[in-house]
Amino acid sequence: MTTSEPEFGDAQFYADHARSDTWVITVIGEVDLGNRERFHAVVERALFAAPAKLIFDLAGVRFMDSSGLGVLLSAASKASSVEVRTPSLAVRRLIELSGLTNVLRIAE
Amino acid sequence: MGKSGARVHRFAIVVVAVSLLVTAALSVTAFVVNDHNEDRLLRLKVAETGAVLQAAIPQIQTTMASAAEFAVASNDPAAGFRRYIGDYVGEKKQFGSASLWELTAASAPKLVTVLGVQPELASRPADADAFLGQAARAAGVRVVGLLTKPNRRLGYAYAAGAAGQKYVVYAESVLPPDGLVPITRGTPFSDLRFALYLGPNPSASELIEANVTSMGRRTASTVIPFGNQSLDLVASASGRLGGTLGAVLWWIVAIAGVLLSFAAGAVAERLLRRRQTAEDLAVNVQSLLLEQRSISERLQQAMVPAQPPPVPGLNIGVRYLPGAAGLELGGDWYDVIDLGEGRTFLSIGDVSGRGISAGAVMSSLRSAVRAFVSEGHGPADVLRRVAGLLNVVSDGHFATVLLAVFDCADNSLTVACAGHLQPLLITAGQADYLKLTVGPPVGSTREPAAYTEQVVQLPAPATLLLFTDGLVERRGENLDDGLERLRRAAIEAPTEVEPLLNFVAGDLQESSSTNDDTAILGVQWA
Repeated sequence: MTTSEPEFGDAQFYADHARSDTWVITVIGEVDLGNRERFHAVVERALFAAPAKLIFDLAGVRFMDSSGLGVLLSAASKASSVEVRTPSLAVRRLIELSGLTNVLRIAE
Repeated sequence: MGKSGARVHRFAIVVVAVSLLVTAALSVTAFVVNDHNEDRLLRLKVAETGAVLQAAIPQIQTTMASAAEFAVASNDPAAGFRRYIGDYVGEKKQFGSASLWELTAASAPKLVTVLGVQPELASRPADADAFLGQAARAAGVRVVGLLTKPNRRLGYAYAAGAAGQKYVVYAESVLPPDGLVPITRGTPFSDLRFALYLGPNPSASELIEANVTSMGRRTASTVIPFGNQSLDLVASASGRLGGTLGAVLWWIVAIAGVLLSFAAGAVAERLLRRRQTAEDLAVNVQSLLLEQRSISERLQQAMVPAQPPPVPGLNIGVRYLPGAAGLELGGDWYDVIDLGEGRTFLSIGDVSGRGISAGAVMSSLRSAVRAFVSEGHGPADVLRRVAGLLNVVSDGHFATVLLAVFDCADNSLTVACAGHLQPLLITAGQADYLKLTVGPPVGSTREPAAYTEQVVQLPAPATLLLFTDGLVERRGENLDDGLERLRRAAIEAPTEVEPLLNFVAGDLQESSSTNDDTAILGVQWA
């Protein structure tokens, strides 16, 4: 029996607020269990500002597993309004297949 | 911890030994170099001092020669002699005594005049005759030798004049009573211990003067011609000619080298022990990981039985595939409950995340589903009820769940889906996903969602494959690609449930790039 190091993806997370009531969180890379805590921390920081609208820019996400989806869902439960902007096909299909199109509203 | 608890590693000892050897070699080299250097400097110094002495000798000779010539040339030899040499005679002057002697062929040497102390020679006519006679026959200064009574003196003679009538100047220099002269700074002698002997053999009886009573370990000597005799200068350094650093360098090298050697040994020993500790720890960690893995696997098996219950009329197979690491509990489950009368409740779900909390959520959801099912609730109803048990904000997890009741009587499937991937229906040479209405995952929304229950008529014979996303999810592609890969694999796979599961599970392991666990539930009916 062998044990191997789990493979984790790499991702960058950016939080910006052009206007104080709208925060945009941009994610580039692969989101999984290995970096969900970082993703979660960035989202929590944005939520702390109690923005009227929280936008996730996920165009650069090549892969997202249920850990990443959990962070999006948690944000959607807490924030007054959450929008997923121009998601990559991987993210779009994850949202659609998980029956979340009404929870995580996709904006083109 | 380490196998060699208090024992010092051999390598550390070797490090110390080699360092000490290098130190010793360097120290000896420093010592030898300094020693040679001191020898060389001392020889140079003595030669230099000898040269200074040698330069001073002609002064004695010149003074005496001039006095003699004055005596010869004067009408009154005594007056001429006295006039000339008077400046050189007296205490603290060059000569303590100077006398003029007249030598004629016929008579014994006659003392013409004396300046300073009466020479001893005057009271010993025989010696005077012999010595002055010799002086008269020789050219240059003649040294009479060391005189000890009444005080220590050095006598010399110089002759001038025609063969028949010669004048001999005899002079004596007063030497220090015990032979010791004070060390005066700023002279060539100042940093030397020296002893000046008359004649080539340095012995106490021939000592003219010295500035110390004993020499150092290292001596050098030089011989300076002096009239018919010679002076022997023996000297050693009173300090260190090459400077203090050169002399103490070997000590510095030795002490620093010894300290560094032991420091290097200590560092080597420390590193070796750390490595030993690290190796021991690595072994421990490895065994702990294996232990944890086996604990995780046993827990997982306890929570999700590897063997489904036998259900009449159905072939049911299950697989639980731990993720790549296999160290943590996964959140995937399947469950089969025989409701009786040909009806079978199928449950599959996937709690997001991993670890103990995901495992606990999975276990409680699975149990809750069983409990609600045992109370007679249908799939959508059960979903609605368990949806209130979980919240992604407070629990950090959500779960995709698919619940279904398969009825053997009419091959109908009553199904409700909470964000879960669609089951794959495999019939002769074909495989297609069901197209169910999908509600949001359990715990994913603020308010528990409503779930619709759908009834699907299925062909027979057929196999329904329920699975979690670990089976199809891959990095660098979207879920549709993975679903299509599974669909094609299912078409190629053997039809029997167990070989079919082996086939798709093997296919999964080849292409896996995630660490997700995977649960598969295959149900086949005729």
